[in-house]
Amino acid sequence: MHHAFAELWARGWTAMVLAALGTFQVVRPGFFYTCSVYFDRARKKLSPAQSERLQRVLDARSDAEGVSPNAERYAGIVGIAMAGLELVPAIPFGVPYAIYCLAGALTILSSYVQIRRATQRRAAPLVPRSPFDALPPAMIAALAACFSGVALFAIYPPYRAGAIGVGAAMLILAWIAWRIAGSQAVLFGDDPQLEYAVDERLRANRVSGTVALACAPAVVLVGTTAVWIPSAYQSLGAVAMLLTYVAFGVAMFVNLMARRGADRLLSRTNG
Amino acid sequence: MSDFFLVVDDTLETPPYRQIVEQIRGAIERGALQPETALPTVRQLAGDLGIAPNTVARAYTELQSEGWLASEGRRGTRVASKTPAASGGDRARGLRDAIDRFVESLRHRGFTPLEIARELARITEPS
Repeated sequence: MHHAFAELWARGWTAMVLAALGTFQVVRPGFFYTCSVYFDRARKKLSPAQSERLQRVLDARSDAEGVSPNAERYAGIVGIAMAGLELVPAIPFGVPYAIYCLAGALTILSSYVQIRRATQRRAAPLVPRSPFDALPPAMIAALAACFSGVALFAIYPPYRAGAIGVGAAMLILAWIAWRIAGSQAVLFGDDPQLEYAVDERLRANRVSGTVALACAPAVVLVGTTAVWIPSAYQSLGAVAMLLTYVAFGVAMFVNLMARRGADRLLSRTNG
Repeated sequence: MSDFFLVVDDTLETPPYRQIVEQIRGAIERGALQPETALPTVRQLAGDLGIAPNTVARAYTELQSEGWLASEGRRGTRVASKTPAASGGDRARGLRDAIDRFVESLRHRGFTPLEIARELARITEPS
């Protein structure tokens, strides 16, 4: 009875969040994943000429990526559909939320697949690059800690299926983050220094955003249900909750720092 | 932040591997690429330029055989610590070759020799 009420509460709350996020994406597509959203803060500190220069680079990049607002609308529709599924008791708790996060990450990945055939003329920086430049050890540690929290949660039988589903989604999201971290640079040679700075920022923002997406379902699963766990499993729940909360905090901190990095964008270029 | 960028243009007559060779060699000669500077892997550069890895590998091989680059196995490819001294003759020949290819590509795009000569004269005229 205790567990049944806890699950009902957690499902209702998560469904509401999913429906709100999904509706927002359908109504205002482009808010989450388009290029320019990562540079809104930086733009405020630029002169009109610098802002125009940045906009030219971002427009060229957006055209090359070809991510239409519809891609994000589809992710929003997935969110709304998952809100409904979250209320179905037969489906393990947290799995619909994880599927929604996967849809968001696939929207990001699709842009990287698309830009392979972006243009006839391409430029490249003559600098060796490593996926670890965009995926720092703190992010990897956060992912591992979150995954450990979910794995611990799998010991509690009523949430075992949900923990396995969320864990699988986390692994797929981690793979997507790794692919984005190791993806090619997209420079057209018109303003290569700024294009390169934008490319680096986009990569870091999108990787950290995907890692945060990977950690989010773990927080939802563990955070909304750990407090309802029976006393026999309380210490286990507390450890799992601590791990996921700290890890999610680290992931969000790195994500925010990556976004703030865009403020220093033009100071590293000629503009 | 990189100060040097390679640009490969599919629409030019010059094959992509030759464009890479000339740009890297030119950058080393100008000092834009210093000795011992690490270069990207063949796979990374090919991905960034959107061309086949074999094309980049061919360019690196040619530059290595000429002594401009040095391969260090798993450590990757670097600018050679002692690059070939560019004699006056080499420089003149390199410049002539580059101009020949440039003019040829312009003629393929429909410009007449007179138009090209006039424009080159305007650009090179001392201000």
